[in-house]
Amino acid sequence: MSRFVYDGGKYLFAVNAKTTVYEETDSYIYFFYEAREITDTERNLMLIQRLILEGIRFSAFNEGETLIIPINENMDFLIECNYIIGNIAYFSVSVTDKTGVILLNCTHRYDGRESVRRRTYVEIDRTTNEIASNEDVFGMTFSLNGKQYYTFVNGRFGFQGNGYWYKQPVPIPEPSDQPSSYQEIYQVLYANEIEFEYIPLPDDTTDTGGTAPTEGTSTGGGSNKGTQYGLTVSLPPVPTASALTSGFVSAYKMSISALYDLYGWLWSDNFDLEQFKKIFSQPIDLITNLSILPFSVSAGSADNIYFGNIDSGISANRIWTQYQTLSCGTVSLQPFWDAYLDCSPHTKIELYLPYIGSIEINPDDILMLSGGSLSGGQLNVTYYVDVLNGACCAFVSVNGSKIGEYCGSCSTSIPVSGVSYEGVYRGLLSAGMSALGMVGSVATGNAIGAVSSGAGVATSLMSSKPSYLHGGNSNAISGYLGSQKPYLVITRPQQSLPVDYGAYYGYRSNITETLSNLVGKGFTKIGSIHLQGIDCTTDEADEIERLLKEGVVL
Amino acid sequence: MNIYLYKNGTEKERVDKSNFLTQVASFTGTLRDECDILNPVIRFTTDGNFTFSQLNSANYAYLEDFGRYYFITDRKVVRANVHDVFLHEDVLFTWKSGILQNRAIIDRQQEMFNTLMPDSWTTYQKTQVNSVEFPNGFSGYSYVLGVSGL
Repeated sequence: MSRFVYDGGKYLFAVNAKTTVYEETDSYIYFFYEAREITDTERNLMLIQRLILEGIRFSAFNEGETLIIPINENMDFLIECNYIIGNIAYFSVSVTDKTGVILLNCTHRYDGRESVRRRTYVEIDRTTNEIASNEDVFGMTFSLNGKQYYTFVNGRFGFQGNGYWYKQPVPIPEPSDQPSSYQEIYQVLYANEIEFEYIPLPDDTTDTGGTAPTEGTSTGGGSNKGTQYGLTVSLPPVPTASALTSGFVSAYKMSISALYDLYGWLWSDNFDLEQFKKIFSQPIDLITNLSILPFSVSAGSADNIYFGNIDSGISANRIWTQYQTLSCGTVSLQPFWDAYLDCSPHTKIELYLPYIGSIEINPDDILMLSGGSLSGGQLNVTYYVDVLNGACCAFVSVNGSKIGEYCGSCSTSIPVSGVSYEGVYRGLLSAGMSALGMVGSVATGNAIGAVSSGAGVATSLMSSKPSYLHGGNSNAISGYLGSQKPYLVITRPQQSLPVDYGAYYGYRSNITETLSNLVGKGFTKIGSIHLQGIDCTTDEADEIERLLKEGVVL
Repeated sequence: MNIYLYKNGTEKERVDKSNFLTQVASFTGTLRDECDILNPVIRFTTDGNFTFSQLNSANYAYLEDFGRYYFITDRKVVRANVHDVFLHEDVLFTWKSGILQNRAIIDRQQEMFNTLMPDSWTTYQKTQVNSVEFPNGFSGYSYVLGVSGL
């Protein structure tokens, strides 16, 4: 057994790498890595982003300033400082062609500090076998059979606290540490069993984090009497009880040629018809479903398809795992204004989930309040799919903690004979949902309601045709024709902020303070004051209080 | 009673105006009639030593016996060279020291603020809409056949 050991420090500019379970039996687990080589543009963007982080300091920018760095004869790298709040700047970072057409675009927040201390969090989840990191581009090397290999994760993030974290400062990348071929890595990983090293979480109390925004010292009123649980709900484990191991049902991943062969065999007499008719009138009756699923189903080795005890002689890859996972990756959402405008109800986030529909995500679920400032979160979408009937459940999580689950169906049934399994399944679905009181929820697009009322019965959801909800309306448009990747639509307010707004109006403060401490700090508007220690008349005191509440310069 | 006239060069909302006052003239007078301490009216007579131009340039005053600073809110010509000047007490500057020793709940502040608190005074422009796609999703397809039997 080889060991997967993080030895840190090496970067690989690549995206979309992850580990997932390829196939699992009682004795072994195969892993595979999904990745693609990045384009030159992406690589340039990442490299220059890193240079910005490490090399170009906050003080080099002014609000509204634009910096253009030529990449090559076809592209420019564009950094535009959109906004500065306190010592935090927001940049648009993009790569454009020479005509100004944006090829890649992202936003970046930069905290103005003397030294940037970056931390990398790496998760090795023994349940899902996923590696996660808070680094946009995090790379690591590992040794296998005496040879150095590289792997990486992109844009994934997890929270500490589950005991599977390892923290390591990340040095500046070395672009020269690029492997020559990913195929070489995959081949080795396919052929070897990889065991992740368990690294317990060390105590860490020294992270000073970023600079908190300028704000008051209010301690607020009252005291906390409840318990703050935080976000602690993890994804449920993939169900282990499977119909495919019951002995009554088997499933195969069919190629087109195998389907043709099967069709021919079903209408032939190349089997003992008399024996078969003891139970069924025709072998086609033993087909429980034939459907198209919109992803590559993980399957084992090829095996002959049996109808009851009749060997069809047709070979197809046997599916052993009824419930399969499909990770859609992670999108990093950072505060744009670093203000209440980023929160609900001012900012709205709509999440489109393929085969399910659009749902609204509360931005407050994503942005965390820590140290007096907002911090971003990593939004992840993972599907669990029942490959037998196409029922799918999308789990939406933030920083590794689940905040919602929404169900739908992603299979398209193929009629196999005069018997319409579509009708059968529709009947089952209708009966099941009526019994569970889910029909109303789905019809009104209330996916949350549907899930909550039907919790734990995802496997009972059977639908013969894919459908999705959009804008709260159920319709018959096939999800197969729609977008196959989840996406977010973020609607943000834009403030019209005059110059010197603070000098004329001030900003919300809500602190209790001795007024002498506000001398020289500009405009102050008092909410409440009990004047004392002044030998003035009551009329004068009333006027002082009125003026303070209207706003003064102390 | 000593009276000092000033030209005030700062906004009336500023509590401490000491660095913004330019003295125009000073007088010694006598209080003859009843006088509202919050809104006194002072009668001045202009002559060669104190011109109307000087009086006209003053917008602020200090009445030493009252120990109070005043805004000049109005002037009225009573007759030739005789002017009534209407004052209103600047309670902020007069009681500055006492005010600054008080604690208060600060509703709004220019520098000590909390941007996470909703602000009803905010003026919005058109909303900004962005979209971002997840890196992965459904891709490819598979034909799945389910049959009864082992």
